[in-house]
Amino acid sequence: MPRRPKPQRISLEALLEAIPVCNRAARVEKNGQEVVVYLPIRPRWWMKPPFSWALPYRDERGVALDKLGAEVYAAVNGRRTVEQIVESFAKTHRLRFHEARLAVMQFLRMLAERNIIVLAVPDTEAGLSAQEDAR
Amino acid sequence: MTRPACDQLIEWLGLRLRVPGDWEIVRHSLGTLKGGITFVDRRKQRLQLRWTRCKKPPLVEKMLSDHTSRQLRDEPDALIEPFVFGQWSGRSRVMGGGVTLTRAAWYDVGDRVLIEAILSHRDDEQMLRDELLSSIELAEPMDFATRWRAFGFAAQCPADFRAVTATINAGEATLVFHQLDKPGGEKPRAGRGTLARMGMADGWFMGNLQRLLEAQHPKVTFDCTEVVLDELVTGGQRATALRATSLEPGPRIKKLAGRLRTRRDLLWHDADANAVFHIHTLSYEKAPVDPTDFRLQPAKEADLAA
Repeated sequence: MPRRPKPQRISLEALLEAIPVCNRAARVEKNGQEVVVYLPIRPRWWMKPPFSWALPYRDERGVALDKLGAEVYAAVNGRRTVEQIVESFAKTHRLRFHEARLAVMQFLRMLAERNIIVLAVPDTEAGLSAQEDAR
Repeated sequence: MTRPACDQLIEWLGLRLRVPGDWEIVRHSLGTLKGGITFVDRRKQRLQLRWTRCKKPPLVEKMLSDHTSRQLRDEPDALIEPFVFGQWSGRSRVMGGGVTLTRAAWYDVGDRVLIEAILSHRDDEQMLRDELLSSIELAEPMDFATRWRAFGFAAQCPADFRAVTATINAGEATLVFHQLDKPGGEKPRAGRGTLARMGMADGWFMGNLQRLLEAQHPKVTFDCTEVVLDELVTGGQRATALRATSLEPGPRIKKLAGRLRTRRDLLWHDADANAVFHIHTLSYEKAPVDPTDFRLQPAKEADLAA
């Protein structure tokens, strides 16, 4: 079986210019300060009737976000770049840009791994590989 | 395009320099024999500062010319210009794409340290290069370094302490100091000091310092009191702090033998900096180290004039 080519590393510059976009299938529920994002689960054959009559499966999974996470998630509107989100986060929390970048990037990575967001990277060589990554 | 102003003061291991405000240290070391710090701007590496302790004075000019020869051997068309600026000797190489790479070196005779700077700047940023190089100085001998200013805080330790680790995470910076037998000494003593700045306090701090301390160390029983810290420690206004005393965790037999050190904590919340500052020390009762022996302040712009 041919091995999947290793994706190229995305440059920091491209990452800062990337635009995070929310998954349209996500449903957001607010519970006090906590925000829970629910994503539908694609049903597999064993999750469909008649198996599901005996073993009901949940049809969506939730990811709970803390106060800071909810703030970053709220900043993702499909127009702002990662750099702009980091800048506003740094300003709000009186952090240095690089500190805020670390925090925001870690969080965006977590959201991307859970398919809550995708990063639209500028159309460069590094960018294309990052899109593959996100997929 | 406007030149970024060198308005950020950095103090690290006796070195003092000014860099543009949006530059940040991404790699650092605390070794006094050999080490370096690397700065990046938002997008790429800008400055690498390296130091090497030398037994004999190095031939700086020969070192630079050898490096130039090697570069010219690999790329005969490379455009390399020598320069001398203050105490610095260096070479500037035009890299193409409007970028110049400057490599400069200077030997500090007093501390016997060779300082090397590798700076990447635009061709039209020669003023920045000059301003940066002229700001770099060895303010304290490296073995006697007591002042630290980076990562959004300014700290000062007693003369007989030496920084051994610096841990930088998102929104949190920690510096750990070990006590030595004398200032600049080599023999370690039992005293320890840890300074931490925990940022983004509005996201996690509920206003109760004692609960925060107990949550961090659930197995330790603290004896807590409230104190008012003066400006000398906090750097800004007077702050109400939590002072806590306890014993370091350890086996009961050590406790009975009196071999456990006393732990002293001092925490305060700085609303302006949106951070909680924490100093804790470990020391035996016969040679106590108090948290107020250290200074920990937010690195404010106003401090730059000091």
